[in-house]
Amino acid sequence: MDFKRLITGMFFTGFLISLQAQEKSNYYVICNKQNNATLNEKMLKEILYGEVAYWPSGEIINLVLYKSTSPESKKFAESFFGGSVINVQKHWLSLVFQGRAAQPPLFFETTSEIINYVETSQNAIAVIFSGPWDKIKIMELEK
Amino acid sequence: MKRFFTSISVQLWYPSILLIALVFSILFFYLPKRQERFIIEIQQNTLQQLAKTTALSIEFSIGNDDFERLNESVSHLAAQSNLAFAAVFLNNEKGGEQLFITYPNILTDKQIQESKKKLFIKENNFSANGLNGKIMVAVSKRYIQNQINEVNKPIYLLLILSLFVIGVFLYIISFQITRPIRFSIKTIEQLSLGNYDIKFAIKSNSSELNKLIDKFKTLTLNLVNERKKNLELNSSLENKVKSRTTDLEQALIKLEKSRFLARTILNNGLDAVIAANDKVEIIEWNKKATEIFEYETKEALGKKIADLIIPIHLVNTHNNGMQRFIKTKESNVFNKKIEFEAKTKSGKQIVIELFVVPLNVGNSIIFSSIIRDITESKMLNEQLEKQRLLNIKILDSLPLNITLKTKQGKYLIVNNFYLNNLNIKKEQIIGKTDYDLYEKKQAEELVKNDIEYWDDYKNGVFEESHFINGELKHILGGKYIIDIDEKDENSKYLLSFSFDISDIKKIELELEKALKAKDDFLSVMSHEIRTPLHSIIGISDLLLEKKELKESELINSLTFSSNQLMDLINNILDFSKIQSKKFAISVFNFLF
Repeated sequence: MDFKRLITGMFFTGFLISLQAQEKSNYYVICNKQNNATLNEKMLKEILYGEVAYWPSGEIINLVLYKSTSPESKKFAESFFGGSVINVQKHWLSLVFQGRAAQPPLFFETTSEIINYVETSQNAIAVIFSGPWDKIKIMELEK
Repeated sequence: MKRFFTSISVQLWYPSILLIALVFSILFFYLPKRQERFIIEIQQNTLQQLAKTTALSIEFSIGNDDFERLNESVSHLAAQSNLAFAAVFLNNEKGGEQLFITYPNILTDKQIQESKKKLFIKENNFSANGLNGKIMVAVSKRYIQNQINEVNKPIYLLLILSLFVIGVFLYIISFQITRPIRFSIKTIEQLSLGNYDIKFAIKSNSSELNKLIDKFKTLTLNLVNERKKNLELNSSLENKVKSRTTDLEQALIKLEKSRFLARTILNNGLDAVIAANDKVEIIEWNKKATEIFEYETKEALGKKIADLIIPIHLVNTHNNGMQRFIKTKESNVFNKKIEFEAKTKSGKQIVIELFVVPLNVGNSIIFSSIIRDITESKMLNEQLEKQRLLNIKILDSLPLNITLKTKQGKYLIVNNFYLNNLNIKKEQIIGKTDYDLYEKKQAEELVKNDIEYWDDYKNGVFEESHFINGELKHILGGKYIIDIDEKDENSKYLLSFSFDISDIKKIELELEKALKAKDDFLSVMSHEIRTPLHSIIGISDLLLEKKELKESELINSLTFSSNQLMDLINNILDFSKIQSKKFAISVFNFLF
């Protein structure tokens, strides 16, 4: 139980670090245009960390991430996982290994692949750092 | 040992026990162990495969950023019901390993280390994108054991079933074959011990054994019947034996009494009894023998007869005689009375009368001797013989005819005087009767005369006168019945004696004449002498009344003399009266 708290603490620390990274690099949270869900930063972090797997509507969240080989993965890691890509993989390794990941994220090499996927997947959500923005919807994070 | 292995029970049970052992070994040890090894091997292979698959999934997921594969592997792990845990260790910068994550529960490294003993663990390394580590997959040994047990359950069931089948088989064998056979053996043993009260409750499905049991029943019934007959026979025999035993006991008692009586008789008998064996050693010596020979029984037993009672000068004769008898079975001394010189312990020479009988007892000979000391009787006989000769001489010297006849009239004793008178020899008269000696008429007269005495057993003296050779002879005789034994008629004898008293008769006649002269003298004397004396005495008394003293003295003297003379004459006359039986005795009372 203590270990769980420790892990949670670690995640929380990572979250703070990512917030600091967000400040450094601009990222955009995108979803399908038909998705009307709203998020705040906390909920985003929870989704990115796999702690929340379902939309408020009850649909399962299809998280989309950059592959580790992608240059944007570094940015993403810096924004949300303390700057280390391997941390992202380790995090999801632990979640999947423990069976706590209801839906493992999908990894794409490029932003366009991500956008294409989000365009077609109604429950998808991704964090990207550049457009085009016409095929997807940028989610405004509530404060 | 050979008997043990040839036993039908052993021959049936031994393979069965071996079969049970074999089945038990296979089904309880071999197969379960094989199953266990097999399952463990499978489990370990599965585990290894699982670890490997998971490691590959991690490598793939990390390398390709595709966690779907890992998700499938985790799902596969989750499907492993025996999974204790799965753990991921990551290599740290120091070259060590650090626990990263565990599944399905969150475990510490310490907990993992502690639980290793109870688990089968397989590991597989992975390496992807600089992420190195290992996957550890563990399953519970207990779970595997349960799985083994589960797998072995049918085997154990088969074992139980097999044992049950073998048990049933053995029971059937035992019940159907062994038990009836054992029962048969016990039955035979009981029968051999005489116990016929056997219940044939056992049955077999085997027709042969049922037949055997039926035969046993028949045999037992026959034996019971035979036993009854035997018991009756035994009872009869026992009664006979008892009766015989009783008879025998009585006979033994009688024999013992008889032996006691015989020994008592032997010991109290008048005769000595000495028995000797074929070595002439004494084996029986009674009291009388002790009295005669002065040796106690214990002194005499075992000694040679020759050493004890045979005088030295007769020892060689005795020994030679015994040796001759032993060799030839001939002897001049056995089975007849012989007189024998013998010696006593004190060295006294005695004369014995000996009757020796050789008795064959088995293979040996026993010499039974009956001995009587006749030393005194021999002396007595000699004395009696002397006395007899003296009596005969006395009888022969008496001038009397003396005869002694038996009741049958036979002459037993006659003296020489009688023989001389008859002028015959003794041999001619002894044992003869009057009929043998005299003419019939005379003999009848003599016998008739004897019979008068015999009839009344009277004794008496008789006087007879006979003309013998023309001369009158006066015979004085007497006959007496001599009764030696009142009860024995044959011991009564008639003693007769007689002698010629013709001379005495003559003397008697002369004496009678002399007596008559005396009587005459006395008559004269009584009348002719006493009468004047009475006158003298009477006159003297008259004179005494008238005379003076001086004259009286003379007259007294005269009276005294006359009285003296008168008393003398009276006395002579009294004697005469007495002699002539004319003396009367007056009876009257008087006082002193």
